[in-house]
Amino acid sequence: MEQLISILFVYILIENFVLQHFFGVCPLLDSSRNIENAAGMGMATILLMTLSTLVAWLIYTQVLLPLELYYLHLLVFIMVIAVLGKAVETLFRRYFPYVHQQVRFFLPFNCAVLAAALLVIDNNFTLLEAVIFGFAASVGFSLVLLVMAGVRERLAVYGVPAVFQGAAIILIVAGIFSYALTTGLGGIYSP
Amino acid sequence: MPNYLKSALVFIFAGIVGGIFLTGVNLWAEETIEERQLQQELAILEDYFPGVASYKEDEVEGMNAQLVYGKEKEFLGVLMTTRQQGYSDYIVYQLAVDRQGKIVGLKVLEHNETEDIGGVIEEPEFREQFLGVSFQDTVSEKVEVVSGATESTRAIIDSVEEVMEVVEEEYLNQ
Amino acid sequence: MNSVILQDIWRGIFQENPVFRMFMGLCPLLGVSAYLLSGLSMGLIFTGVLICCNLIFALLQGGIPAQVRLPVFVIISATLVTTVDIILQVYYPGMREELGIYLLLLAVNCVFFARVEVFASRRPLVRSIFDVLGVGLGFTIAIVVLAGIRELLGTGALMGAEVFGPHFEPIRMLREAPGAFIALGLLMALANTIYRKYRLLDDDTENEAGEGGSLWNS
Repeated sequence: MEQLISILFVYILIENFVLQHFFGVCPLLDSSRNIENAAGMGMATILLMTLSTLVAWLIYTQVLLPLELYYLHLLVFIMVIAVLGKAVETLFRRYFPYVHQQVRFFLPFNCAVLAAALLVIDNNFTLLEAVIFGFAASVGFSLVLLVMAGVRERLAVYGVPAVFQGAAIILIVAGIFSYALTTGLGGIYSP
Repeated sequence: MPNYLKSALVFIFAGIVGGIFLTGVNLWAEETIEERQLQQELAILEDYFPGVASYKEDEVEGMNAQLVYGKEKEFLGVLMTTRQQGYSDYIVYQLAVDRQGKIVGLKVLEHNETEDIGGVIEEPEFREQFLGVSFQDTVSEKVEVVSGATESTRAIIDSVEEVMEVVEEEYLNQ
Repeated sequence: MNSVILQDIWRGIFQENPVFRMFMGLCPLLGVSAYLLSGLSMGLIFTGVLICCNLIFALLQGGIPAQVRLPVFVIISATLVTTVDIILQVYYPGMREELGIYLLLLAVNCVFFARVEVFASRRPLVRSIFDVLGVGLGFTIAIVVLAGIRELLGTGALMGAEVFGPHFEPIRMLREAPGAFIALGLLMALANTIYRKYRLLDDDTENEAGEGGSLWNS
């Protein structure tokens, strides 16, 4: 149990997918314009990533390992994520049309979800750990997205110098978030 | 054939083609990679068992064992990799024992002990005490616990004692 | 013919620079730019994979139903990236360790470019290759600059060779995540300044991230 809570904590905050490993930066720039966007994207990502890590773990341990097909992992994972992504998108289009409009849906082609699946292999998780990991990573990602959206809404009011408009300011803000995380929380974790 | 189905088939077909291609590439690369890994493992073992030519993996009592053999397939010794609860977290270390049951090496691979305190287990002064200790000795008589880091060092000492027992039972009758 | 090709390449580097204009491929960019050598390798590999992907896909374009084009392209890039991964394992295992997971993430990034180049542009094969070459070079330039700065100011050495003297105090933050973000952000601002100054943009593309990259729309 302790291990699970530890995983949650670590991957949401300390090894945050976006701020520490740069995995969710692609959609960060895109979907953090306002809070609705961010929330929608966050929800969709949580769903997709948790599902993906689950399926990835299953495929890896039940199919790829026993058959010694390790080298196919990237290909298989990408295919699976593409299918799952499509499924999630259809789901959202039917049941949450408002969200679907808000979010630009090309989740499958998101570095973060693929990265999560790949890391499941690297880290030798058990099934439960893998799912929690996927959940935690996506929650961490959504968290960053939401906070960034809040900041951007403010910035839209206060104005940003012309050269910093667009990605530049987002990256710098992200850098400050990242610094807060690594410096502020780093002391708790590392020996 | 409905469009949907056709698309799905093309998708799966493409996936299979990709898979076959990758299988080919992998077959080409496999040998080289395995050879290199073998060389790396042997290099590590060489440190403790000069003249090593091959090794065999085994698992016993939750520990990982590598039985080391020389050129004439003679048994040289065994390298045990095991983990033990230390002060803050698990310590992962390796113990090399030669065929007479004497310790020829101890190396800490991973630990989360406090750097300046429990971290002493990595120090040569501490580890060197283990060299030459035989399976007939009582480890705690030959190696001193370091005051101020009692839990960490005691953990290693006790663990080595246990590992030596396992080694004696399983491997020294070669 | 020649000048058109050059124009295509030029465009990939400047107007359509994947990093500074289209904000793509940032994951591998940030992830691998701690050292100049890794950055350079990543850039070159990216360019290579992009070109191959494009080549294969342009050749296959006719035989694939529209609906499934994108997924098939994804498969092609995944296969290609895995091949590169295996080849690296054989010849340059050290570099492969460095690049690690970011190499595999290239598979996803390539797809984006396909959408623009192959779908939208519908140019003849040869020209689209040069398009993509330009884009790849643009990425490589960006990552080399970023990695160069990060390694130089972060460790005081460039490609392992000491540049500043022993009294130089490296900016440690640049070697880790926060520094990467901030360095890239500043670099982007610099790029924006250059673009504005030299009028390399049309006026209406100077707006927020996401809008300028209208390729997101299907």
